[in-house]
Amino acid sequence: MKHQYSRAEIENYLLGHGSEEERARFAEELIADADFDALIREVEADKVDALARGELKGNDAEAWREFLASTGQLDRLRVAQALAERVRPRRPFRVWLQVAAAFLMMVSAAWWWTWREKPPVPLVAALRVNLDLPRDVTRSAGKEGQLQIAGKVGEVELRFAVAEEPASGYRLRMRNAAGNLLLEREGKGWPTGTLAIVVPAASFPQGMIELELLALGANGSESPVSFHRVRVVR
Amino acid sequence: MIEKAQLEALLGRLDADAETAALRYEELRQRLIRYFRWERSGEAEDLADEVLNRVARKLADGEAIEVVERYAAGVARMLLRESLTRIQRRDVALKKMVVPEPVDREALAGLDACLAELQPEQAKLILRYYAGQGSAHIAVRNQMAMELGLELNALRNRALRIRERLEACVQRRLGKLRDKSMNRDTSI
Repeated sequence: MKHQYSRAEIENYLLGHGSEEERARFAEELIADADFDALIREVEADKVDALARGELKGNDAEAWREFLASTGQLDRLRVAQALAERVRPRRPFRVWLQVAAAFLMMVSAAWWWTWREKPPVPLVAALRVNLDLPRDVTRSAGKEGQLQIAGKVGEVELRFAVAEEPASGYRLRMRNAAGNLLLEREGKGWPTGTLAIVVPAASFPQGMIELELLALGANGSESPVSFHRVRVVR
Repeated sequence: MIEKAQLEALLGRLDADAETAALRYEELRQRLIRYFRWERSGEAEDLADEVLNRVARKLADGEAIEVVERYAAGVARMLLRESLTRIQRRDVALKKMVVPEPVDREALAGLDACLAELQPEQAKLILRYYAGQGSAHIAVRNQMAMELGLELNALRNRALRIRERLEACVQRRLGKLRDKSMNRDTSI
């Protein structure tokens, strides 16, 4: 192997840093040297895994999320999240502890159900947060909402209040503060009342985002429905 | 379009054995694709093919090229400059980006199914190779290389090949699920 680059230098290259000259030297090595190319792919995979496991924070997480989006690899995050789940270490003691905790929770839930006559909160609900978005909000409204995503949250349900529309479908676009497209989602049909779209929590960067909801005509034409600025806090 | 004689000139320079030459051609093409992707080009595959076409033409014309891969790297950089500015490239890539789907349970089920398709020792290797965090990765991988009697590079290549197969398999399964749901879901 001829190269002498560190993992940190490789990360910088992947994030788009460095002068044209430095990047050209890097490019020559990665195209000419298969071992160096493999090392870069490994660093890339390790960063995707770290992002999926929530090991990266703040600007670092944001930069790698942006990297995945701009290199068309955002879908790798989903597989990495599944892989992270499968390689998570499980110790026998911890498993027994989980069983005991589950038993205690079941007893508590039964007690709660019997004596308070209120249904217990399903455990799965803790993994999803809802964001209610009012109808008829336009780009010029200047209002901003807030979305708090705690560490364990896996999904965010965006709940758009909508009026009746002669639409055959919808399209959602999410952009960051710089206007870069982070996510685009489409669906068929148009509901009455609330349009709910579930998005993985990992898709939301820290900071300001813009959510644009569009109604789709039968010929695929778009018409704006609502526009929301939301500050994401992790 | 590349002519047969030009392609033969390139393959002949990559290796004397036709099968090995074809393998090296595809490996070089994949490295070029990754290079253009890492440079945020939205047309990575087309640009990689164009690099190989230009190198093949030069070789067929009798140009003295010492190391084909390094020459290809020069052509790739030139082609990148010819194509778009960095900002434009990023925007093109963003428009083409794949959007993650919402339900991670599907990804987990897909991963389990794809792991089951691997040979047991491959599944074991991949789960161990990507376990651990930070510097623990390095220690685990060094230990694995020792146990398997492999160079670290060889183990890395093996793990990457399995991971890339696994990712492609899960994506295929998720794609099928998405298609099914699009066909079925006519209302929200």
